[in-house]
Amino acid sequence: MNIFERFSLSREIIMREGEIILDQQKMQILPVNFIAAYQLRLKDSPGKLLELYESMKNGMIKYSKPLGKEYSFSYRNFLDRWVKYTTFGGWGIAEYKLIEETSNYGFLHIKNSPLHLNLKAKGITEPFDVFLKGIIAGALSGTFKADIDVIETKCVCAGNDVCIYYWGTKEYLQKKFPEIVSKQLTRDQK
Amino acid sequence: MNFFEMLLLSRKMEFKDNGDVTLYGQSIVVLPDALMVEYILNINNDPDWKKVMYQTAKEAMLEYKPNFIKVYNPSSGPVWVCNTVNLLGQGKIQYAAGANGLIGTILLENSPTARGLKGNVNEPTDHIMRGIIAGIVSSVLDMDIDVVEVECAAAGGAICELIVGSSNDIKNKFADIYAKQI
Repeated sequence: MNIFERFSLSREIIMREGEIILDQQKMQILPVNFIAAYQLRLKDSPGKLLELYESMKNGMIKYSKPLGKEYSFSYRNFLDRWVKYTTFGGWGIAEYKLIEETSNYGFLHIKNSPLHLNLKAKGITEPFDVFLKGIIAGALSGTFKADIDVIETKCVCAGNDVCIYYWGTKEYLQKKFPEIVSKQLTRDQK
Repeated sequence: MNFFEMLLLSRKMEFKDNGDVTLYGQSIVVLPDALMVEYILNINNDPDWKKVMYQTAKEAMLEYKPNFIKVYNPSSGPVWVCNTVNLLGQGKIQYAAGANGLIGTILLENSPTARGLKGNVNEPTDHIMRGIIAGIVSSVLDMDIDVVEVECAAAGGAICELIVGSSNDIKNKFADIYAKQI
């Protein structure tokens, strides 16, 4: 039984005309090639890429706050659920790695991400995705009422086997990955 | 059995074990509707990026023209397009009128973008939906189709109303809106 069938059976997802409801929240479907092409159009506008990241993050904070409250997620429960949703949502097969039992830092592997493979096919050769970074940042920030950011440290676009999304407070990420933070989380990206 | 269940059974929509989710062979992602609402609100004052969003969505659908042509049945054209677009969770569309099958007026109800932005904007907001419809209809009719939104629930309209037509017709008959949206 695949993850969609599990969600359907447990009635966690409802699909009806014009509406998709997952875990009592409204969802939408977008083509991967639209998401990839849209990001590529912003490629030479670091400020606009950051605006997209922040919109995904802020939207996800609003989405996640009631979830955190309703389910009283522990960090591990949250991550278990999160990787299930990420995989179900067509973002690739997600697995998390805990550094410690705190939402302040950790990382996620994504295998076979159709989005990254699409970006690679369009000539991208370094970590570039903005959508999923913002989504993860907002999910963690909203659920745990913290200000968490996410950077992509490895990517299939750059020849790695998996994509790695690393999260933490901006200060933590800045200290550990100064070059990547400067490239991915600032308006005047280097 | 609803349209979604039929697609699953006929394997036109698949949740694959390798993490890929596809609709008519096109990879898709599922995300909370609040995210694009947040983004569109942020770019709402930037007219150029609304057009970019529309064109990108249209071109993305055109990339899958061969897949759409394979599954499209002209005898049920408008119904098939409505059923397909209604799967995307971007509101419910129905063709209200059309002199030539797929070309005409579309009514969009319950658009998440319009719902989320109501009261915050005074211009139509369904740019992705317009682009998706334009790309699909252009693919199956094999002509250059454009879509403009003439009324939007987010901007005080009773409902969202979209006009689908050949690019030239839209350009000529809705010149002002064309300039703003396309």
